[in-house]
Amino acid sequence: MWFLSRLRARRTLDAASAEALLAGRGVAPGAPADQQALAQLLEIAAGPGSAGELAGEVAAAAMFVQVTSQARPHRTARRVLVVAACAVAVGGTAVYASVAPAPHHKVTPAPFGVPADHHAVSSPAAQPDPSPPAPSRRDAGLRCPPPGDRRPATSCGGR
Amino acid sequence: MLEREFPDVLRAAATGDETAFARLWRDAHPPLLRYLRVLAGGAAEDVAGEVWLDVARGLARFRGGEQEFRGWLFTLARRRATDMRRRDARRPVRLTDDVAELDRPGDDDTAMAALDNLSTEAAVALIASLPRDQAEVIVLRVIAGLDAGHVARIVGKRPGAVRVAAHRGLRTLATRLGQRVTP
Repeated sequence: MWFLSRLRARRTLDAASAEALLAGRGVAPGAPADQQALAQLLEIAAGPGSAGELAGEVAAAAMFVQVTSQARPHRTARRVLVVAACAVAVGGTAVYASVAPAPHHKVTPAPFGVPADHHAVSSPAAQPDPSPPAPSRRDAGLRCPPPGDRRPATSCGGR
Repeated sequence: MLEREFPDVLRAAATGDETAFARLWRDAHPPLLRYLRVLAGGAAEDVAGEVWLDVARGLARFRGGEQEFRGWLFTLARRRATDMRRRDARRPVRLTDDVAELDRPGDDDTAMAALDNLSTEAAVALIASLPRDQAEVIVLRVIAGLDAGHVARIVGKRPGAVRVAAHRGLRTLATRLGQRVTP
């Protein structure tokens, strides 16, 4: 009778035995025959891959190569963009440095025979100067700073 | 399962090593296919192909151990199978001849004798003949080797509910086999 065997299975397959089966630990040697059969069924179901199941390995590897080769140009393009952005930033800084005013330092021509460092004003790093940098000689008199600029008036033709 | 080798294999595959990817595939494809036989029936191979394509695309971004990798793989498989079911009418799982033989009432051979000659495909088909929620969790626990917590996350249920479904399914299978063991 099917319901009797169902009742028997319900009674004998307790939670601990079921968990052991699910974890792949099988059943104890003296377990009821239906549980041993169940353990065997699960073992067969979890068996190693058959030749038929593994037949697609070459195709899967080819798909992987195709996917990764398609992904690489994107990564390369991203790297190129980053390098280009860095180059633009560095180039822009260089251009700015070439047209921006030079740091303020005043060098007095030393008379012949006198060491120059007795006359030259030391650099801002060695002697901090709170005043903003003066424009370079090339810019002096050529460009006026905007109204908000704190550059000295000497850079604007004596303004 | 690759176990201790898994981190190295995964790292190599994530950097585009085809051999390492093939290693992952060889290890995980059979359980994936068996899981998809439960969810997608005859379309299991096609769905598995879509899943591996997803894996190949996302592998470089994946972080985690082997259980997490399998969790990800089987989550992708579940999504793909759900998409497929939305596209098509559900295809019933056809029992193989082996299972038909096992289920036939009758003569004096026992289930054990029948199991001796049972193929993996037939064993999976027998599990797949359970209600889908029970079959799914049994396959994920037994064939995919996932613990109850990972299975619960994949199927979107609590671990307790997963346990109940799995135990119920096992009892049903034991009952069917017991009918053959006990005349």
